Amino acid sequence: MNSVALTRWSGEDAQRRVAKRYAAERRFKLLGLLAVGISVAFLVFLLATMLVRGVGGLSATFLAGSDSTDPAMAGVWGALKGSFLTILVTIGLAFPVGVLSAVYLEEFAPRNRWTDLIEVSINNLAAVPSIIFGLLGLAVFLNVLHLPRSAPLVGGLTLALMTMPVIVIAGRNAIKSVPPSIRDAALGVGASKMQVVFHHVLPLALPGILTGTIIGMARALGETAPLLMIGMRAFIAAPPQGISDPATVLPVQIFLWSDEVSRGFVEKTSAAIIVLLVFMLLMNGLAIYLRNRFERRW
Amino acid sequence: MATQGHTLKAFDEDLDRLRALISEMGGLAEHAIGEAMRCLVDRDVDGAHRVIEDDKKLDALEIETEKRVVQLIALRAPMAGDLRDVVAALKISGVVERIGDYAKNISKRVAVLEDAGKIEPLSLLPEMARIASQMVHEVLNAFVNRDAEAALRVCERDKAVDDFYDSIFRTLLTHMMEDTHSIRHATHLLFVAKNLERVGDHATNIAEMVYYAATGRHMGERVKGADSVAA
Amino acid sequence: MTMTQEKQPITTNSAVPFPSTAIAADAARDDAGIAKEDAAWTDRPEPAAGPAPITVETPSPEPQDTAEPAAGRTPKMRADRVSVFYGDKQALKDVSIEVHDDRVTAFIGPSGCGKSTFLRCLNRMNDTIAGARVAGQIELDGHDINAPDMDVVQLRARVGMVFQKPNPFPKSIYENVAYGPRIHGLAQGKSELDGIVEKSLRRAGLWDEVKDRLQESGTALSGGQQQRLCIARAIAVDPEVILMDEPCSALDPIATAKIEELIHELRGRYAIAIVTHNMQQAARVSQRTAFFHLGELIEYNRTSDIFTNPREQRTQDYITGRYG
Repeated sequence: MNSVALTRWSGEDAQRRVAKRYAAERRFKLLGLLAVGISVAFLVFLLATMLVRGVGGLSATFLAGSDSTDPAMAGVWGALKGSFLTILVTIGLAFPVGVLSAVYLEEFAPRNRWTDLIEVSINNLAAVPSIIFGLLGLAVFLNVLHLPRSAPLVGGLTLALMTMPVIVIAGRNAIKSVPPSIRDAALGVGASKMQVVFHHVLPLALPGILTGTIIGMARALGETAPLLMIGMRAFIAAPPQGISDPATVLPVQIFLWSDEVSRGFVEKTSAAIIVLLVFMLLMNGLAIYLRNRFERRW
Repeated sequence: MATQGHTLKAFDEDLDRLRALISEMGGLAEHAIGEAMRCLVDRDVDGAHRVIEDDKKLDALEIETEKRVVQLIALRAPMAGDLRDVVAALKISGVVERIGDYAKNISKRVAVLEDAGKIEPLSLLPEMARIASQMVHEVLNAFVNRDAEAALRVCERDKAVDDFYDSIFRTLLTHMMEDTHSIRHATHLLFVAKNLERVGDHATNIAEMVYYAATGRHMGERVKGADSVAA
Repeated sequence: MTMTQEKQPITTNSAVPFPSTAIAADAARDDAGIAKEDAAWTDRPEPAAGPAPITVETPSPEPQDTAEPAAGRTPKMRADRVSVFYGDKQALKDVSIEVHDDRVTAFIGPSGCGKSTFLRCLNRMNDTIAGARVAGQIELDGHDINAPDMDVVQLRARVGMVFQKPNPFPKSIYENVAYGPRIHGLAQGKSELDGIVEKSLRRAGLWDEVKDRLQESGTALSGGQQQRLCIARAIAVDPEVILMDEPCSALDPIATAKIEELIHELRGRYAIAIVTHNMQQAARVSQRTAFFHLGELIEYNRTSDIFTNPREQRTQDYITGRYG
């Protein structure tokens, strides 16, 4: 038995098998590289066309001005500020509510039919098309609560509804991945449930929660459809002064400009896309920086 | 006692080998006593020399046992009943070696007694030796079988050996008083009897060890067959 | 102390609020120099674990140590017919045991025999497991720990726990030890907290190794050091009982020996209960050993008796390696 096995390791047969295995691995690596190549190619194409078409449109007036019917006077500042305020409202609402929901569901809620139902609903909510949230925002915030139309407040609230499930799901996973031994350790020295969660579990889960939040925010930042529903597509010639002023946001502005007949707006559209990309890059960068800072603590 | 073998079979083998060693030592010791008595009765000086020679085997086996016990404790870390067994084996090997020494001692006296005339107690000694060596045999069987009851029975027989000793002692004393020429031989015989009596005592000691190994309890205050040093 | 006095203070014991009980008792035990006394063979009667009113400090002289440890002593913890169910499955059946001050009690038995489950009952760590149900009575100083007026957080401060895998918080060494005293408000001000941290680390035999790097992460220590840090963390809140759940199973022999030595030193200051898979370890560190099998307590006796002359055949089979 032994001698048979030994000879089979060095036989021609075996060498063929080894060669086949190596070939399969090489093929797989190539395939992966191809997949990455395709996505990078599209990104490069997008960036290149935008830069070529849009760089000419970037100017001080463009960055400092607001929307205008005249392409030469049209600027992106109003939309940028609108985006900023909207995201501020979204993050201010979605992050605490999402994290608290995650903590409650994961650490405090009893396991029963109701929590199961809630879990399914939240997972479902994360997959609901954004336009539905827009309709919801329109129905609840504008028609029922009579909040100001076209305002970052309403836009932020709507986007928060959309982002929250993502944060809850990411938060629950992050909390779940905190080793139970840490909980045991804290309980073992007589920490209360609350102390265990806020002193140990949450700090350890924070990097994971922030990752989920970044994804949610990036999605919210690029969202157009729900904002159209709540009136943020209006022509606004002055940058908003607060969250209840009428405003528009970058993606909507891009959408609006791309619809314009005037030739001058083609360049402006591309320039606005560059601004949006930079804005997103900055936000993601900040979030990643924050995440790493928390992670690096120990 | 043990309902089943160890999960680690090699441990059982080690313990069995230890028991076999003790059995072998016991067999040699028994044989030595029997042979020594035969030589004494038959005035077989050459035979006696062989007994003395053979005692070296017993010494070697004792050393072997000690080695094995130390190894077993180091490698197998015996517990509870096993530990008591192993410790008992170590102690028993020492005692059996002593029993062998008594046989050797008796054999040494064969040459001295070669020219002795007929001394009456000589007829009692072989019977005493038979009982003593049977005690050794039975107590070692009890050890191998972990049989506390058998060990108790061995202890009861010690009384018979002691009685024999008392009786031989008196007879020899009378003998010496009657015939002062016989004092030299009679004294040697007295030592032979004393040696046999000690063999019986040692068998009892082993019985106590076996009892503790098998039950975990000490035999308690056993009524000892009064170690009489009459007169 | 007379026998009657020993029996009677059950009620007074629990009347004194934590942590003064622990501290007073601690001081009293220090005075008596109990920690110094090595008594692997002689189990002394309990040295006044109780509150201040008892002034007589002389331990009763009779060395009488019956197989039934209950005689004439108030156990630190007493479990009476404790059963634990996980859902429909009964993990523990009618276990009655007493854990005494200044003694190390070891729980041994094959995996799944319920020894860890039982240990976790003693500070109600089973509360955290969904579907676990505990029946029967467990008392700490004569006070039911499952009673509605027993605060589980306070209970866990009084009955500390050390776990199988060293689990320091991912914080600094200092923070690890200071955490307990801080949440329980045991220290007024930084210097007092520093004192507690140093004392705890010293008792855990770790001070000399870490005193120059208290601000480094606790998780950067070696496994054995981490486990001693966890012990320091447990004793920082001045518990009365320390439960250890296989504290050495993840450690190498040298680290294990250090922990065992530490257990030896802590004995007398705290009642210690330890679960271990390593029978030699139970033999080395404990004075009482309880053997569990299939959720039942088979035998509870002096360690020296369990390992030389167990009464039950099942115990004998297990400790001699004939199990299964």
